[in-house]
Amino acid sequence: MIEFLSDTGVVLAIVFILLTAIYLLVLFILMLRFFKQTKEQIEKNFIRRWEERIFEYLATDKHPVKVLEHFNRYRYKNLLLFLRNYILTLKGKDKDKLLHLINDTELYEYLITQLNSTRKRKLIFGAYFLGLAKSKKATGELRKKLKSRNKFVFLSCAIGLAKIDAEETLDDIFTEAHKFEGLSLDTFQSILLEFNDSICGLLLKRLNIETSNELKSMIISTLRHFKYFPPSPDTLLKLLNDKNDKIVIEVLKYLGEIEYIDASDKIKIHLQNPNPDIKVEAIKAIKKIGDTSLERKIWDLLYDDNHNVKVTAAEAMYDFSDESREKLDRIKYSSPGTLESSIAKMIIEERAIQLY
Amino acid sequence: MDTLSNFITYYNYLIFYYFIVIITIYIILNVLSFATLYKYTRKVKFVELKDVFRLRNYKPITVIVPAYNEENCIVENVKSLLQLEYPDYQLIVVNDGSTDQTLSELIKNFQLKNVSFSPYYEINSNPIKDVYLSPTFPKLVVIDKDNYGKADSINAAINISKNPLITVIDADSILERDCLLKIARPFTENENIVAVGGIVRIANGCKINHGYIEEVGLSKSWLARFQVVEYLRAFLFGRIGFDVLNSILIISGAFSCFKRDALISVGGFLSGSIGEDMEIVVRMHKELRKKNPKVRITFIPDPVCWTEVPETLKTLKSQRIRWQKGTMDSIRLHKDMFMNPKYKWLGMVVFPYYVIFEVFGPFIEITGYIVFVISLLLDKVPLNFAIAFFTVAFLYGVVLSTLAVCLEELTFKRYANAKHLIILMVTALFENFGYRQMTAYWRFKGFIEYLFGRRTWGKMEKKGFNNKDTKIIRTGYETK
Repeated sequence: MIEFLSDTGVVLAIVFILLTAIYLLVLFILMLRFFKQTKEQIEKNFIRRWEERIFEYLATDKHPVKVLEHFNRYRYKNLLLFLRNYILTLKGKDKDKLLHLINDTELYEYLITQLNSTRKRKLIFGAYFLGLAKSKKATGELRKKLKSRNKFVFLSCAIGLAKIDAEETLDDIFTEAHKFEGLSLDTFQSILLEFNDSICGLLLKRLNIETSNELKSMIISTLRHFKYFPPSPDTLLKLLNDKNDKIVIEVLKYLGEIEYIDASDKIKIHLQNPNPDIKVEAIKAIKKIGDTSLERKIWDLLYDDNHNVKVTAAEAMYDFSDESREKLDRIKYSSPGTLESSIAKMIIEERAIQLY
Repeated sequence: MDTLSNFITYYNYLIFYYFIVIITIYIILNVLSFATLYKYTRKVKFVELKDVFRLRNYKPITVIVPAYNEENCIVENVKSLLQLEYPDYQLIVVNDGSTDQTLSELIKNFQLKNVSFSPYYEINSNPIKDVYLSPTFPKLVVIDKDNYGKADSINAAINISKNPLITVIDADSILERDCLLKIARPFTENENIVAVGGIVRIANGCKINHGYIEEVGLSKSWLARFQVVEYLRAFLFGRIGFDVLNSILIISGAFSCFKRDALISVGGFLSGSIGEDMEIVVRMHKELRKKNPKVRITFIPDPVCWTEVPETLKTLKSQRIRWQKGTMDSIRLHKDMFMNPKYKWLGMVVFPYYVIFEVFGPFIEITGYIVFVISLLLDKVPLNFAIAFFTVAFLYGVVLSTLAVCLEELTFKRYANAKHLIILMVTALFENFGYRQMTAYWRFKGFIEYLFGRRTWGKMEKKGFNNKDTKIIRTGYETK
């Protein structure tokens, strides 16, 4: 090896390769930065020129088509990115006018072209902006693209449809979601949240036929988000017996959130569940519902093996009633020096200091 | 003479093959990291996740801040910690027997009230003297105890913590506002995860306002700049690469998150240990994998925590000596994991890597330089080979450092100023000429000191974020 590295030719070759690698890396970094800054500069200049025109459009009755007169098509992308911030922040009439600017001009055609592009990035861009602009007339196009084999294309179209509030496509979204393994659950959840709360009835129906546990729990958390009170609790109560713990946890949270008092009999069974996370949610749900008849059972959970269950039980005892609060306070005499008394004291002190 | 001559020859071979192996490992780590980061950053754009964070099953967190003589920054830092974005968290500040005004500053600024409270000690820790709560800031708990070190302070806080997740941070760490959301996320995605670490970035030179990074910058000190590149390399390559193999042996004590149950079941942090942040991770792998082989300790590549690094040679030296001792201590305490197939990649690859390249690495490197010089003097190695070897080694170091800068520019782009980016590239070049050899020598010193029984902590001198002209002298609560 020493002989090998003593050969000047070999050494020079290695040194040359390493120097070239350094040079190329430096060049690559500089190019990345150059492109980034150029892009930012273009955007800045664009905003400088267009801000005034957009405000003029908002302030007058100018037709949207007139605004885009003499506007270079290749700058549409910049314009849309620029409009995005306003659409996200403005409300009412101003926002509607901006949506018209997209839907009733060439910008709409441009977005449809983007959506039909074979390039993934363009397609995602089109789907997003058609959704942002609430282009109801693009529902069909977006729905077709849902069938894409690409996960990101599917998600972008689904977000678009959700923003448009195309409820009729909900089943398609769920059906297509099944195709993808490792789908980002956070992103899928955000899709459901983009819909209006009128989606809840359909979601409840979907819950009956949905086979994926992940999607089921996302449906339930969406219903919780909208605080939807179901006309019949049967589906949810049935899901309380589901084998999947995540679903049970979600149902408990949901029932607690809507304070579904008739469910407390079913919920109390889970106070004995071997999974501490389920016990915790069952305690919280009962506390929210305010079923004081279960006080005794919750008191017992103060002596559970799991720390989090003990803490949640102590918090529930504090909040239930004056009697349960006193009972919690008495624990320092009945079982001094135990973890339970330590937790109880901590909760009492924590709450008391807030009243100070 | 022949024996010496043979020894020198074989030692030179050892150094050479050591170099080849480490190059290969770094290349593999680079590839793994590039792939992981590419996947991580390839998220769908334009998705607003705030509602999702609120809905998903995020568990409540207790944030523990051990503080020793932090009077200059503690109030500002606690204020910023009280404004973190997270649905449900408790903040416990532990005054670890500070000799300055840390406790009184906290009492005064947060209107703390002493509450009668005697905790139940689930894990060993020295007694808690007092517990304080704040009527104005219900999330805040301050505990006062005698000075027994960082590990003991954390254990004390774990004993009174009420939430299922525990985040440990340094009192002078500067956190991103959404750091808890990011660090808690892996726990919701995989229930086998027991601990998560985050990337630590360097705050020297950054503009800091009310405990938050306002503008990312670079220090004027070259020593701090060298460490910026060093941290980029260590975090973006090293830890991400090892994470793929579920073999992370250290997560930074400046910002880490654990399952409370897991910490309790392993007995908490080891009091008196030199590198408690590494030791706890190794012990968790060892103990928890016995019960559940799927246990995972992971790492999030988002830049979530910023910390101050030494700007003087004296402080840096003391830090590096301590790090070396900490690594050796953790490895020695769990030596039975070495080449143990029960721990899969960790036992068979990563643990041996740490033994060879982290524990013995500085020794091999420094003695290698010495033997190399002797070889040259004795004419055992041709001069052109020596020049070639060092040139290749240095250039390879430059390639690695530049790759780290490149990865940063490809992913997080936190250095917005072009001038800073150019400085970073220049730093990546010069870091390999002198700085790396100097740190290798300090680690070598740590190696020798540890072997011969000097296993104490040194002193850590920090400038502090709030008072640019004043230097605060304090013992080392600073972590790898």
